[in-house]
Amino acid sequence: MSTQARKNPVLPIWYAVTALLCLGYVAFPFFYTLRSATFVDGSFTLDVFGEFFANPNHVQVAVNSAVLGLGTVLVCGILGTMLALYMTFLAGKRKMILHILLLSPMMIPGVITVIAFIQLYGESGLFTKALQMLLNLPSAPYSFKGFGAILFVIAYTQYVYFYLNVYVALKYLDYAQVEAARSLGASWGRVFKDVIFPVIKPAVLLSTILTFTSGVSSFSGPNLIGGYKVLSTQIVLSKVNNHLEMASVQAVVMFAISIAVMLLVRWYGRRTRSVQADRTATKVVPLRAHPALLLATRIVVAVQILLILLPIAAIVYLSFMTTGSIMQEIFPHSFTLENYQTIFAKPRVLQPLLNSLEMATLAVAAGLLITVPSAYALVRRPSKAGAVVRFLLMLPAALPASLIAINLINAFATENVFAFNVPLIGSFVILPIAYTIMALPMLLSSNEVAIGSLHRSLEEASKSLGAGPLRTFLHVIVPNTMPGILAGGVLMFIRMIGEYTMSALLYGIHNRPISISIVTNMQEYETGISLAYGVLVILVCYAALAVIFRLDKNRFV
Amino acid sequence: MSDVVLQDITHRYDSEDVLKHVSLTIPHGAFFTLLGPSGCGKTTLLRVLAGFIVPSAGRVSIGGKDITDLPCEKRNMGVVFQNYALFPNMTVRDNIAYGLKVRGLRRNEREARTKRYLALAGLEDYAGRHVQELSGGQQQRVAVARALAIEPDMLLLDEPMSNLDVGLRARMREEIRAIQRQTGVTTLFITHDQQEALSISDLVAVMNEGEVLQVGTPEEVYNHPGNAFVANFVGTANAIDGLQLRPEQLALTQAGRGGTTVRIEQVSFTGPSYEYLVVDERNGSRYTVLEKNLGQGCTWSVGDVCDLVQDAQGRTDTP
Ligand SMILES: Nc1ncnc2c1ncn2[C@@H]1O[C@H](COP(=O)(O)OP(=O)(O)OP(=O)(O)O)[C@@H](O)[C@H]1O
Ligand SMILES: [Mg+2]
Repeated sequence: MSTQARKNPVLPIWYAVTALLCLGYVAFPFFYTLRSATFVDGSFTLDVFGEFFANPNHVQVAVNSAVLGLGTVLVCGILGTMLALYMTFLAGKRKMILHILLLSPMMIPGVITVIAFIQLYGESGLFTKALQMLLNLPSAPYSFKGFGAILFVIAYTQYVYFYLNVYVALKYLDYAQVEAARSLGASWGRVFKDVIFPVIKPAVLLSTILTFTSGVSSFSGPNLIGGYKVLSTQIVLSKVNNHLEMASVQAVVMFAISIAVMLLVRWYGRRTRSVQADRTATKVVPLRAHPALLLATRIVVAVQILLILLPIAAIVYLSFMTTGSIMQEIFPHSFTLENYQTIFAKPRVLQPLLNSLEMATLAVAAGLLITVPSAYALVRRPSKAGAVVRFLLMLPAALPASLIAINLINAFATENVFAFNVPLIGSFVILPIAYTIMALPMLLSSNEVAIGSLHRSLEEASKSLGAGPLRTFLHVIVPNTMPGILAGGVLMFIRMIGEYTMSALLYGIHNRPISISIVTNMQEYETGISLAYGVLVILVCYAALAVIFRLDKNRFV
Repeated sequence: MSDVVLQDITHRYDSEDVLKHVSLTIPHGAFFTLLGPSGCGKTTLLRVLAGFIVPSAGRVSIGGKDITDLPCEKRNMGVVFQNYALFPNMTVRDNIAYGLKVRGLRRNEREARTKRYLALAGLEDYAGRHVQELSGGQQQRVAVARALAIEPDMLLLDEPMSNLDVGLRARMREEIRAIQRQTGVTTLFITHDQQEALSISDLVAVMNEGEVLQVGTPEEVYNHPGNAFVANFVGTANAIDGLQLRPEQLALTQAGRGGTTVRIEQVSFTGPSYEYLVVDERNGSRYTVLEKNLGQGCTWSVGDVCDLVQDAQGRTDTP
């Protein structure tokens, strides 16, 4: 009866195909980049690296990127952890709504967030002007440029990862341990250090890696706000200047920085003992905090919620203003539907939105096609071959978006056997391919969770009733895991529909995505159109979010 | 004498009073047990004593000093939790030393005291182990040693043995009692097992639905239950003529001798005795009667009709 004993030829074939795809589109392209960085005119040289490290400007840019990464970790870590602690220990009523609000920055593409922030806090932003008038100043009270402004935007979008991971980890905190430490005389500081931190440590380390990587490779903030040069912006510059070798070197340096930090964090994590999740833990009882403390934390949370809602409100409002009114009036108030009418009336203007919808859908479909069977095999039949395939599928998680794009450019600008000897760069499919690559790790892990939570006995029951493996898969496994799988897919759809970093490097005339159009319209002073695009994308994202909530409410709570 | 006094404690969760005007005095050095059914508010009362929650009304004092608003880390009370709540990231030694470290004890004193309590709990051989690598009984001893090491003014134990099997439970009960005698620390022990409560306590308080119904020595509570709930919760009781009588205080005799006429409805064997369930067919009342197992089988069988009489000596007449 053992399923393990029966030799099934489908699995090895599936693994081979998946491995081949990963090698062809993820691993080999990376070697193309290494070759592009080290081979000039057919012979090996480290000249380009030399050029990079000899130039203090280049080195400064690399340092800037690393500093931005560290700043991101620090700000997001403090903010996200504090919010998670507040929600766990102090929040009482309306916890659910607060939680969803705190998660919402995740649901808006980064590029739209940046634009919304500029509309609010930029030189002629609504908030800036309001403050200027309120304080009766002759000019803007601050300049929304450079490191601080960029970090502000990134922190606002990335704290969610810390918040969510730590919040989930705190669910496994045994509250009796907190009380035990308290009754032994420990102060709250000590309780945090000795009891709470060991429980959330794995989540903190994971979030550190995630936010560092996104800080180091962030593109939309540095590119649109400016005043602080980082690797991601210089990569695009090098590529535009046709210096692909330098772009490759810069991408490799960015990769090296994020890998170094990842390894460092892993090493630290392994060196110290963490606490296993305890599902029988005593539930947390909401604390009775000192009224002053409670008030202080409430204010912090309220400010955070305001920061979250303000940008959305601002771009929705401004998208109904004429571009002239946005540009000229101190507080725009000339209402119009023109921006939306233009988008829907002119096919050329609508096309980028359709492109992005299509490409994100394609990417998620392809990603699910690859990861669902793989996740099933990995969960149910762990094996050495499976571990290799899993490693290959998770590989893109270690690659910054700019590097994935540069790899594809290096590998597919000319013929490549993996693309049946058709150059892919410049064709429509290159962006869906890039999106798929980026989505693979998240899709795989969310599918593994969905399939792992399906009780094995359900499957065995089906088999014992005489159903074959295929029938069991289609009639038992698929329907029972579909909500979790689809919810993961929808989340990736939201990520990809506004993807900007890879898009900026890879788009062409056939596949101009909405993120690019939002930026170019903004730069060409078609602000109204740009914001209307943004609102439409947000609408799509929220509709998708509603789908997730219907499918898999437990995903976030 | 530093007696612990709870005065008119009321605690409200949401809209429901979980504790209702509870007043108790726990004498210095006593082993005091709170006995009551699940959900009656035992843990809540312990949490009030430990200082984890401030009661909605009422005062708590030790030795005449009001501690109602004193935060838990200043109370010097050792708590043993139902699930032990050992720190999984620390060894046995570190768990026991934790409270001493927090109190800033000097290193050599800390080590000496840790050693003493390791020995008291019989854990010397396990000092370097992580707590996940211990059995349930060993974990419990770590929890007790950890609570005792701070030399608390009071030891609070919340159903510390509910995770253990019957044999281990009885052994641990004796160990806890022995340690308590040795240290003389005032102890509040929570359980919903009446047998456990009767066998180890100096004093027992019986609770139900947030109220303390009766406080007394195990004998008082068992022999003279104050009301039907106490009588039924602490052992089995038969209500006869307004009295609560224990099964061993009743006997069955041949019909026609002047008792209540009953019919045997069920007989069960419990080892040391036989337990009869009998019914008075005139009014449908049921009673439970015990008969000692003398190794010769039971006297009555199902369907027999006999008389129920009060029998203070616990004798059973033969037919
Ligand atoms: N944090 C809380 N919020 C609201 N109600 C609570 C809370 N903690 C306990 N209760 C309620 O208070 C009542 C008493 O709970 P408590 O934990 O004191 O009972 P207990 O006697 O210890 O029960 P058990 O023997 O099952 O442990 C219960 O009805 C419980 O539902
Ligand atoms: Mg309890």
